[in-house]
Amino acid sequence: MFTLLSEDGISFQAERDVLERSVLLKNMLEDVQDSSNSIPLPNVASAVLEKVLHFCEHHRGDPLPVPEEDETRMRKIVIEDWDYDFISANCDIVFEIIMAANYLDIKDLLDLGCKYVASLIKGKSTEQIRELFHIVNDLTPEEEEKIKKENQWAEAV
Amino acid sequence: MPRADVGRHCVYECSRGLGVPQRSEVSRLLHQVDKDLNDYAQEISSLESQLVFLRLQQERLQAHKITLSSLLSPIHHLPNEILLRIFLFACRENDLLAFQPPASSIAGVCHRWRELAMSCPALWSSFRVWLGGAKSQDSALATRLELFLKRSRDQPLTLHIECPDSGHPLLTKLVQHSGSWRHLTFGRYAIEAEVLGALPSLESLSWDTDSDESIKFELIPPLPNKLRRISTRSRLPNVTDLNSPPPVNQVTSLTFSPGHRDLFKPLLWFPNLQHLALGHCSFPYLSLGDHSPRLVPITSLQIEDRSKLNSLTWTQATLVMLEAAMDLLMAPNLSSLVVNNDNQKDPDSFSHIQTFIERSGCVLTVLELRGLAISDTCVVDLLRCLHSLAQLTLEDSTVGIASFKPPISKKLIDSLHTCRSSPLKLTLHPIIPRLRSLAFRAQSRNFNAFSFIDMVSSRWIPDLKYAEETGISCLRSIELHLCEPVNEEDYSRLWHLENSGMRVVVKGKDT
Repeated sequence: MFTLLSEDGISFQAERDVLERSVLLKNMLEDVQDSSNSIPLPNVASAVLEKVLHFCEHHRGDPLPVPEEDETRMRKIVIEDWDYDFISANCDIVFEIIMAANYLDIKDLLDLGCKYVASLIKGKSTEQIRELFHIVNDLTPEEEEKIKKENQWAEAV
Repeated sequence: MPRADVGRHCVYECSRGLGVPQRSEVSRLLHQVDKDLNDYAQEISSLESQLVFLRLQQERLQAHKITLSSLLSPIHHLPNEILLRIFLFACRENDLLAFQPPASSIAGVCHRWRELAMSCPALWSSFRVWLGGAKSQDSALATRLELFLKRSRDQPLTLHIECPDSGHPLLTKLVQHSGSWRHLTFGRYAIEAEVLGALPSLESLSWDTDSDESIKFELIPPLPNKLRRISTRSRLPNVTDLNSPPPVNQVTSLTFSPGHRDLFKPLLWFPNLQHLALGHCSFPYLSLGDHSPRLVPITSLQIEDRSKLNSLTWTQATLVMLEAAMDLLMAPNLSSLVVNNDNQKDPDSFSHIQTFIERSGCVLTVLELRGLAISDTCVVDLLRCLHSLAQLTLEDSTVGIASFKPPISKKLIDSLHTCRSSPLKLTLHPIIPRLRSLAFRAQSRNFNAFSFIDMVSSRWIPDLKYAEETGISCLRSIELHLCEPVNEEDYSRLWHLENSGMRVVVKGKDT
């Protein structure tokens, strides 16, 4: 068992094969034989780390994504049942989970978070996306004019 | 400060004795009052303008507050590369006829998103276009198509084209970029070869058409060297109908519906095939007499009834195809077999699967049987031979068959126990010892949770050394889908295993 120390000083224990879902931790563990020292993760809060470990435990033993298949993976937007339940149950911290997955280099969790956010964007208009993510329209009048021209389709048909 | 000291008393005094001297005094007072009133009006006006200014400042500040608060919105924390990854998933296919395709919606959100969207040609490189709509749409569609092609720059294109008219001017426009087409899907209408021209970058080609006719390779010459994937719901051409074999040696993934005459003979054109998927076919009756088993290099085989039609003809057709595939293919390299056929009603067809596996001598690691009318005995007999199986998915048929019990039974579950015997497995020796992932979708009522949990627990061997000694792999993932409500308490032991690291999914009909 290895111990991880979150940004806010909470420790979590996990087995090697769980931690090795993260490329960052896998590389770190290669150099660490002694499991008595805890591994500090200064960029991950305990609430997020807990979720990340839950995901890694659930997917322990699954084949790791192959980098060469990146393009193929990008073409698939299907989310499996458990993964969907997991990410939608944690939608309030989905961006934190994405950031942690990126930092820890956990490809399948990063993809899951990105797919989930993408599914929220799909089918929405520009204005709906702004409302959803609390984004303010900071476009210049010139940019606005260009966008209006690009979207003339909607008015023409 | 007011100049006129005009109180009620003063007005009273003046009104009581209005002689000549008082008149001039009143005029003087009135003059002062007028001046004061003027001053008051000016001051009020000045204060009002100040108020307007203050309100404006307040409003401006509120707007700034919203902008600043929005910067704290979590999505702003994402670095560009992650935001782009999200955009790429969202823009997997832009429907050019939509009110706002995802790429357009994204590019209009804010300055940062716009800059990112414009800097990423891949967002604009995947789209679906229907060129058979009203003529009035053509001009707007042309503008949009032009925009997407311009922004996708030299990025390889993923296209889904529906075009009933090969002479459509927008198709001509698209074909000018055919050198960049990487993934191409035709809808109901194939496009003639002379229109398409060369497709040097094409890696995958799909026909969605449900036609009874075979696909015509001659329609898309020359087949590019990069082509790796062909998918069609039609038949392949008959071998004897072509003067020379089509140049598909390099194809590694093929989906098609076998034709009744040549069945699997066209597979000889695909010496590098790894993944084969067979869709529904169009031959209700078939004689296999003059066909001999064909050796294929595939590692995965999927047989699927995708017709979703419940008519007798289609059901029989699929059944025959399943049997034909099992009788006429030999795949020694096969590691994954998926049979998905919820229309199948003939229990005898299962013996063909067993014979196929034996004849092929393959080492299966993945087996998925969905919807087959098979008995628990048959399944156990088959599993007994699959020593290397790591992933098993079994789904009961949803089609009720009188006098036939679905395979996911207590006896089957007990047979998977690592150290117990069962009526179907009389020895204590475990079957499928390498199992790491198990998924059941049961249709019968009163599922025996306790047998299931016992079996799963017997396969939970997290101690690697012990697992090695016993030769039994640790079961790492289970999925159970039931057609009845799940009592969480019945499965509490599984939650303990989940906490220890097993992947556990248990779902009932109402959960």
